[in-house]
Amino acid sequence: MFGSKVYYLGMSSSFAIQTRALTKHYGRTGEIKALTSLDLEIREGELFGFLGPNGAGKSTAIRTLLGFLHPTAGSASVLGLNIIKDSVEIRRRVGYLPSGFAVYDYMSGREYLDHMRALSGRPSLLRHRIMEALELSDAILKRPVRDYSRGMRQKIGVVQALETDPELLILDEPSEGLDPLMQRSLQELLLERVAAGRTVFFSSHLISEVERICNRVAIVRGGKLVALETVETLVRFQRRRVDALVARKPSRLATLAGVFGVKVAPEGKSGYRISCEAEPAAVPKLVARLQTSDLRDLLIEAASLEEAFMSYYGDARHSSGAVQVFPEVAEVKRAKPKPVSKRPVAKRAPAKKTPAKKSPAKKRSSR
Amino acid sequence: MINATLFRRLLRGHRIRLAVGLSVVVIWSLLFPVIYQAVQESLAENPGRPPGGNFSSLARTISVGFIHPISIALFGILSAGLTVGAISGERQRGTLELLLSRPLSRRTILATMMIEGWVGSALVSLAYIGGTILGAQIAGVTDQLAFEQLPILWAFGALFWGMFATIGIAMSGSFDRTAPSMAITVSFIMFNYIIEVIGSFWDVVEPYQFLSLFNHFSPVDLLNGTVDSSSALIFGVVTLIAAGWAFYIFPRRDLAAPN
Repeated sequence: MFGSKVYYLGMSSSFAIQTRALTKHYGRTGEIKALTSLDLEIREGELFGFLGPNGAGKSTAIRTLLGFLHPTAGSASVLGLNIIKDSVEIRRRVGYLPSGFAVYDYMSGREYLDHMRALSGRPSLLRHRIMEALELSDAILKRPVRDYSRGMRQKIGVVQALETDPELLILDEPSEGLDPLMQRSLQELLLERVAAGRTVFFSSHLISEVERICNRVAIVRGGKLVALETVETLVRFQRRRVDALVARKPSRLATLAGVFGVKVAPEGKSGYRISCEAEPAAVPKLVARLQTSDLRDLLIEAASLEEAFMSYYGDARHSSGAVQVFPEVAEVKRAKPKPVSKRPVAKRAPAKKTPAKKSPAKKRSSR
Repeated sequence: MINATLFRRLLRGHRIRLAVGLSVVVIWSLLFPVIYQAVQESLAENPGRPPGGNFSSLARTISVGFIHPISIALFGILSAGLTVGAISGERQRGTLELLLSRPLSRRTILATMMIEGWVGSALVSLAYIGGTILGAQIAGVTDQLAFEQLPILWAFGALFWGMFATIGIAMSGSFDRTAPSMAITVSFIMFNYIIEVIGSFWDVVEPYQFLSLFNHFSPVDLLNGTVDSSSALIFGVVTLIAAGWAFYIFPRRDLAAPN
């Protein structure tokens, strides 16, 4: 009935989390595929981001790791312990913040934290530090939880997850309900814990947050892992947005390999405005071609993690579910057209002759 | 097997319900000896009136109070009412997953919540007997009260309502929401009660009265010392079946993210 295909494999203890073909299907015939063949290896001391929209399988994966769900197939270990046989011991060593954190309304904040700490059986080592970082005062903790705002409740959730300094933190949407300042404080707290040798595994909708603090990122879609790499690598292989001003109308730009969505529009007496997208490898050839048309201004906008993320979600055809191991990701059929980056557009500068480098940072060249 | 921290929190969460409910049970139960005395005085003043029926003896009067619909509601709230939403209520509110994130096995959580239901059953039975003693003193009929039978009456009352509390926790562990677990538990109690009541005045149903668990709970026999001990066995077996189901199903259930 439950987990009939689950097998036990010797897992390496050097990984904080390790899953092999972890699968969770619901329904009598397993028709609802919440998670399919998830392979993850999260090293100790990593700050690992887990990205995906609602229903992608993030919470299913987390809940399976913590023993709330029974895997249909595959195996997993947390801190070197088997998620099925050693679930209680795993939970002794893990701090967890669920998405949509709920509390007992009849308690005060302090009573709730004391209760949860007592249930964990571990001393509170970091409560004051976290309270300070999240601007939680003793006076606030004395108030009943039912009077708390959503953000305040989330802070309590963060405290209960972190205060015993667990070896591994599993956080499901930890920034939910926090204002930007508190989000930044939370990120600093997480970086502190990683610096202290702890491991952080967190899911988020805030891609900028993941991009800012995570070492590596996994992207899940439809219960399948579609990307697993460092943030830098994910970004590096994304298309660049190119915007150029040339004196003469260029010819056959669209025929260049790796160049997409070429638009040419006359711009008064200045010449022609060219906008397109280009794969990193195609950028030097594109710039060279533009130079032949008397390049006057050039902006090459770097990709963001959000663009990398959207490349897996913006195109319904991209649904094979295969894990992309970079740099092979460059061969993946990309979404067309790509969504507009939310990154701030850099101030235009005179173009240089030097072609843009394949770097995630914004590049400008002038002539 | 049980977690003391969780147990204290459960009792604390139900403290108002327990305090108010047990007080009402004491007040309710002390009325019956007083009513009995009033009926006896009325009969003495009017010798022509027929005997008091269920109020013909103190034991019968106390028994009426024990299985009166108001008592059923009070006992139900303070026993099965504590357990029927114990797991499903935490699940519905979203607090169960924080509880499960602690190093507690599901069996420990279940056992702790089940014990709380049994404690509620024991307390409500004790409150009823305490109120009865108080009422007997107020009415001046303590000489007619079989004190030596009161411990067995308490034990049977606790076992009887503990059985329903166990059914409540079994249902609570089987569903994600309190509504279905409550509906099944209340329906089960009502079904048993209705069979017993209808059977007492309708010949067609009378042969099936033995199917009702209420039919095996007879406070008057307990007070008169003529109880059939097989009743305890029946209650024990039903309790074991319910507990067995709870310990089977809850640890095996998938607890997906609450909606």
